[in-house]
Amino acid sequence: MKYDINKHQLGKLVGTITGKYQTFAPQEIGGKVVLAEVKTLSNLRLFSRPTVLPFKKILFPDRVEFGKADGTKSIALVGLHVCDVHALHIFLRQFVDSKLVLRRDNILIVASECEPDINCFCEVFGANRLDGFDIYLQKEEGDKYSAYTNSQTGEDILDEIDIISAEEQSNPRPIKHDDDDFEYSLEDTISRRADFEDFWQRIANNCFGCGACTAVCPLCFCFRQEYKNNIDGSSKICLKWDSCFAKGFSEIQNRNDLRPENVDRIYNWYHHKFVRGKRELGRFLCVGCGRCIVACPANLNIKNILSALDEKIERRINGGNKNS
Amino acid sequence: MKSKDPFEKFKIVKKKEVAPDTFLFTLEGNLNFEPGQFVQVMVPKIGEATFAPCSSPYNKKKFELCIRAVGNTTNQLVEYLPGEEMLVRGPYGKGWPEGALIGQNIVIIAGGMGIVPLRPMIEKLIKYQKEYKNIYILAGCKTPEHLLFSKDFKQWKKKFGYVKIAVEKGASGWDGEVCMIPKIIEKLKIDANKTKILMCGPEVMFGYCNEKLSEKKIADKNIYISFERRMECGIGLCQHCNIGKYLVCKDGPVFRWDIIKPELNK
Ligand SMILES: Cc1cc2nc3c(=O)[nH]c(=O)nc-3n(C[C@H](O)[C@H](O)[C@H](O)COP(=O)(O)OP(=O)(O)OC[C@H]3O[C@@H](n4cnc5c(N)ncnc54)[C@H](O)[C@@H]3O)c2cc1C
Ligand code: SF4
Ligand code: SF4
Ligand code: FES
Repeated sequence: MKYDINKHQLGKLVGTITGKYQTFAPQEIGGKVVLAEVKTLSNLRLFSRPTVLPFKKILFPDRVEFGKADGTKSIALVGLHVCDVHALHIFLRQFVDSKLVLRRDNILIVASECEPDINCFCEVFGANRLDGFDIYLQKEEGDKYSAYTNSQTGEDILDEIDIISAEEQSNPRPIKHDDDDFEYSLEDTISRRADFEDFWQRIANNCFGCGACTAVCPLCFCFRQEYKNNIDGSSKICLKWDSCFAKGFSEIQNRNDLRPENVDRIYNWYHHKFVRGKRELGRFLCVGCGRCIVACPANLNIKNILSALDEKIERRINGGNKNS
Repeated sequence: MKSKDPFEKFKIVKKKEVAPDTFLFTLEGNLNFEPGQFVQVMVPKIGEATFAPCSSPYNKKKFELCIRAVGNTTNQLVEYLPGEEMLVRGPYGKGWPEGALIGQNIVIIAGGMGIVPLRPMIEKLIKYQKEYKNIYILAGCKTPEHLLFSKDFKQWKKKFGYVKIAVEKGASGWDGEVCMIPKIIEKLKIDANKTKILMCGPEVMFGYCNEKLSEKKIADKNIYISFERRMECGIGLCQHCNIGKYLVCKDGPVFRWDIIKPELNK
C-alpha cells in the first residue's frame, strides 16, 4: 500500500511508533548524524546521510552480557537506508540461533529513501532492492511524503494516522539501477591468496591496521569475551565488539600470533566478507554502504579494490567510463 | 526467552601432575561428548580456555581434562584443587570420523599434548576394535618426562601390538626411540589404500608428517587432523577461529587434510 502524508502526519507516524516501541532513528547530535534512541522529534534526520555507526550498535551493544539477551522486547529502527535493511537481514541471520540478538519479529523496520553519494555502491550487491522493511518513507515535493507498507504490522501503524489518500498498487521510486545478475568472480579471486599476494601486500603497505573500517561496517560482527569486574567482587562475562585487525585476534597459546602481519589481517577481512561469509550466510558481507571508505584514514577504498578484482564490478561502478 | 546460563559446574574429584606444568583433573558428572570435541572452561574474572576432554566417552559419571599451564587462564586453572568446581560449557565442534574408519588400518599420530583429544578416540577404537584392521599408535614428545598417559601406552601396546614413541631427548632408562615423529612414520609398513590417519599436535609437525605419509602413498583425504585456533565463542559466531573459509569451532576442530590444506595461510 502507498499512503500520501504530509509533514504533520509524518511526525504523528513517528510519534505513534515511539509510543509503541523503543525507537531508534538517525538524529543530528554534535554535528554528526548518529543512530540513537528517540527522545524528542526535533533532532530527527529521517532522510539523511548514512549514520556514523549502523544498527549493530543497538542490536548488539558493546558489553552485552553473555546468555542474558532478552529476546522478547520489541524495538523500532526508523530511517534505515535500504542498504542497511539488507545488511540487517544478513546480520540477523548470523545470530538467529544464538539468542544474542533480537529476532526479525521483534523489530519494526522503517526504511527511508537515501541520497546516493560518491562512496556507496549498493547496486553492485543488489542492496538497492526495495525490500525487507515494514514501512518505507519517501520524500515528495513540498512537505509531502509517501509511506509504503510491506507488512501487516506496517499497515496497522498507518491505519492509526489520518492519511491524505491511499493507493493499492504503487511502488516506490527505484534507488539506482536495478540489476539481477550478481554472479561475480570475487569468491574465486579472493580465495586464491597466493596468486594475488602482491596485490594484498600493496594494500597492506598503506593500511594502518586501525580497524576503523570494521567498527563502522554493518556487517562486521566479530566479538570477543571480556570480564566486567564489579567493586563488590562479582564478575560477569560480556561480549564486546572486536576487530580482526586487533593484535591478539588470532593468537593462540604462547603468544603465537597466527596472523602476525597487516597483510594477513586485511586479507582476512576481505576473505571473510566475500568468501567465508558467503559460505556461511549465502550472501557477501558487504552491502556497499560506503561507511568504511569514509572512515579509512589511509584512503583505502573498497569500491576501487573490488573493481580491481572483478571486471563486472568495475563496469557496474564506473559504467564503462574507463579510458582504455 | 532469557537463555539459560551456558556454564555448568563440575566438581573436581582428583588432580594429578602428569608432566611438567601439566595436570590431569578428574571431574564428576556426565559431559556427554564425542571424541575430538572440546569444551570451554571459564575462570571468573580472568578468561576462558579451550580443552579437549581426554577420558573415555563411555564413562558417564566422570571425565578428565588435561591442562597445561601456558598463559593467563591456564596458569589459574592449574591452581584449582579437588573439591573446587570448574565452570564448563560445551561440548562443541565436530570430532573424529566414525563410519569412514570401518574396515581400515588406523594410524594415530600424536605430538606432545596432541595425544589429549586422541585418547577418547583410542577408547572408542578399543570398543569397536573388531571392525578395524590394524591399529598403530605413533607418539612423540620432548623428553620421557613429558610423555602423558604412559600407563595407557603400555595397555595400548598389549591391545594393538604396535606402539612407537619418539622422544627428542632421551633419559636414563628410556628404551624407546630418540628422534622426531616423521622418522618413526618412515618405518611404518602399511597398505596405503586401506589406511586412515588421525593426527594431532603442534601445527609445525603436520607438514613434515604428511610429507612422509604422502611418500607412503597415503592420500591427503585419508588424513584427519585436529587443529588449534583462538576460540572465543566456540559456537561459530565470533570469527576468531577461522582457517580460511572454515571455522575451527564449528566445522572442526578435526578436518580432512585435503580440505583444510588449501585454506591454511588464508
Ligand atoms: C580444540 C582445542 C583443544 C585444546 N585442548 C587442550 C587441552 O586438552 N589441554 C590443554 O592444555 N590445552 C588445550 N588447548 C590449548 C589451550 O586452549 C590453550 O593453551 C589455552 O587457551 C591458553 O589459554 P591461556 O589464557 O592460559 O593462555 P594465554 O597465553 O594467556 O592466552 C592465549 C592467547 O590468546 C590471546 N588472548 C587472550 N585473551 C584474548 C582475548 N580476549 N581476545 C583475543 N585474544 C586473547 C592471548 O594473547 C594469548 O596469545 C586446546 C586448544 C584448542 C583450540
Ligand atoms: S565493507 Fe564497507 S561498504 Fe561494505 S557494508 Fe561494510 S562498511 Fe559498507
Ligand atoms: S580503516 Fe583503513 S587503515 Fe584502518 S584498518 Fe581499515 S583499511 Fe586499514
Ligand atoms: S570460536 Fe567463535 S567462531 Fe569459532
